[in-house]
Amino acid sequence: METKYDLTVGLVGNPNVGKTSLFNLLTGARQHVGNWPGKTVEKKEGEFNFEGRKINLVDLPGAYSLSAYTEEETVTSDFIFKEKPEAVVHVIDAQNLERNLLMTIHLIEMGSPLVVALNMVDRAEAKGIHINTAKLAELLGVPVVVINVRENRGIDELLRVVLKREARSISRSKINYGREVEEELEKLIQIVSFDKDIEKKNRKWLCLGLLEEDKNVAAIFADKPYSIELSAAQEKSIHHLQSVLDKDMGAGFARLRYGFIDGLIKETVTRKINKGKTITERLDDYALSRFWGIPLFLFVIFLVFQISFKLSESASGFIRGGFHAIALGVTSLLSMWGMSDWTTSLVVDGIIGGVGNVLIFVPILGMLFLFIAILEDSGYMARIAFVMDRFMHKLGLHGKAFIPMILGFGCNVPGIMATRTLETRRDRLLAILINPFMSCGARLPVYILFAGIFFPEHQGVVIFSLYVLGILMAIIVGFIFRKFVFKELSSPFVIELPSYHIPSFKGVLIHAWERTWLFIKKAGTLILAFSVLIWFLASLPVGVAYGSEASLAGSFGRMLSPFFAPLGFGNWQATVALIFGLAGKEIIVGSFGTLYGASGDGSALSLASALRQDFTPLSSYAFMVFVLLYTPCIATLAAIKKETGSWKWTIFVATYSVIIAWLVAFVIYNFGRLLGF
Amino acid sequence: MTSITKFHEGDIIRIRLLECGLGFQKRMAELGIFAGAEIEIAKNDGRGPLLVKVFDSKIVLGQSGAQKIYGDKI
Repeated sequence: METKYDLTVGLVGNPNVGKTSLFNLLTGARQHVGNWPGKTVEKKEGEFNFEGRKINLVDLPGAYSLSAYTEEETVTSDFIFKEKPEAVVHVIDAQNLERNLLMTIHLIEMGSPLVVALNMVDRAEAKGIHINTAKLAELLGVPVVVINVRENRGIDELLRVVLKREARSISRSKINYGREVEEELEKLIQIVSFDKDIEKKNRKWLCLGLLEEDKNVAAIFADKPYSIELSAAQEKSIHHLQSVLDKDMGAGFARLRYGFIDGLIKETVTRKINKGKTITERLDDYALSRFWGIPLFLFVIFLVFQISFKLSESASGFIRGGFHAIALGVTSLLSMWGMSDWTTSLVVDGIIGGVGNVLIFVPILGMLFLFIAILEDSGYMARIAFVMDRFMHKLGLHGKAFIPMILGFGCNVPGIMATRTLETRRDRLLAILINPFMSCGARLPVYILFAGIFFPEHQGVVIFSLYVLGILMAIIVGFIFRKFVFKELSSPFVIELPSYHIPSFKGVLIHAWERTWLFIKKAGTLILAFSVLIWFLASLPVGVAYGSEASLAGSFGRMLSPFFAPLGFGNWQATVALIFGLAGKEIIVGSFGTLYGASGDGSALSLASALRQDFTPLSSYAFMVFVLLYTPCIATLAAIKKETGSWKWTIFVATYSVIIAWLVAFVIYNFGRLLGF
Repeated sequence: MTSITKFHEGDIIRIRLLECGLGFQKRMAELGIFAGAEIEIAKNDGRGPLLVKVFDSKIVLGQSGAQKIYGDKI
């Protein structure tokens, strides 16, 4: 794998500095997205050619430092330390040099072959911040190249410097941590220096890591023969430094580093104080306002859903029509070849129908992902987290966990995948457990069918009530889990508010496409397999009419339907449709079509009148509630398994949601009957 | 010395103490919030999260986290 490229370059930086935009600019569509081994952090790699050299670019996750507090930071420091890239490009936001330089210091201390790419200089200038880049490069001891990713300027220059740096001179500038710290460091370095496996350039930062109680560094030394001696010395040093410097070493080191940065800034940055508000501040007066914040957010999200559904409608129709045509063509082709009806049905209804069922949802998901990417890239998503924080506290989570919930309204699969942005396992699990209650796009066709037949006058209100019920259930269930299962506190809510900017067209498209493709791949294979399984259930034993009472599916339905009788829908067709709905809730609609079509007595009963015979308005509402709350579809369960890494939680979600769905539908149906509906 | 949740928009605060675990302290320190640092309260509605200005960036701090950070008005 390594020999395929002339050199590997790592791209690091704080969140929102334009790092990923630079990555997209350089690699375009030639990107591979995967996971870091054993981590839930996404790994993005891409390759490109520059002046005859083949470069493998690795986009490392956005992080504020290289300590081992979050998985992102661990991934970045592991990559630099273990995979030894030929060069590391640190993208810095010139508008916020102090904070960005903290990571530069870490990178220099790690001895990485570093090139600093100073981005957004124009915006910094507009704010009255002027940076002397030559001086900065001199003081840091690494090349500093001014780039403008948005306008595609300075990139070639940056790459030339990266290539030139193959001589790999490593910065010689050193931070002096003061006599006390340096003395303790020296003691630890003494112990480590006998180890041939530890390169000389790595000794100091590894020992610094020991003083800072960095978990990653501790792991490096854990199975060394001298580990006992080392940890004794480490403990002694920390104890000593705590008594002379600060109770907490982590913050103490940050202060020392910021002290060094302060000196750098004084020599390289001149500032004109700009009075008056920036555009970002003026927008935030509304976006973060305690009065306007939430209404504005609701309006934006309403627009997003409206536009997504409207624009994707015709595309979905087109796909549906296309598959219909394919099905017709294949049917005649197969009959021409003399295939049996049974085989034809397997191919046409099972496989082609199954694939079609998945692809119909791709336009809506793609549109939603596109808008979400725009919201993220523009900086508004962080504001949503701010305004929704108070609401999310009711669920025992914080503002950041709201983003997976919004995604859940599109599809629970990306919603669950988005919980990766949460820091602790407790927050992630809780966010995953409540996500399926967000009524996804696939449930909407069921509501439209039933509300259209039974509540033609109040269709909108009925559908809206189901969305609200889902949110209410999330609040209640969140509260219960917090009381009884996850007793520890939520991780503190901390995010940076980036400046607003106009999203990059290319970046947004790439991002939306990646997520859509992930859905097609993950859900596609599963739903397809399940659709074929359903087809077998509906077609066996050989000779029965598809999905009829005599089929396997029909007998399952008969067997299980008494379970649903107390909820008002004890007819076997409803039961079978619900079983089929496990493959994807939208399949429920199609199943009713097949089931009533096949079980009719030959007369051309329309689906609506067939449903009217078996459902009352009240029982249809109970049915919709059950569809909203019961076991999420297979694709969602697969996402839960992947994200929690545990079958236990996956099975738990599958079962507890059926119980909740049954109870709520039972209460609604029977309470409704008491009220005389 | 008061919790920073008690200050108002525009107040400039010198941080004195973070009363929390090592992980959170470290994380705050990386963002520039540590004993001795100066921050500006950019928004405080008296409920919900706080917005503080640290160096040139705006950081959102949840109410419960912010309550553990103490400082004095400069």
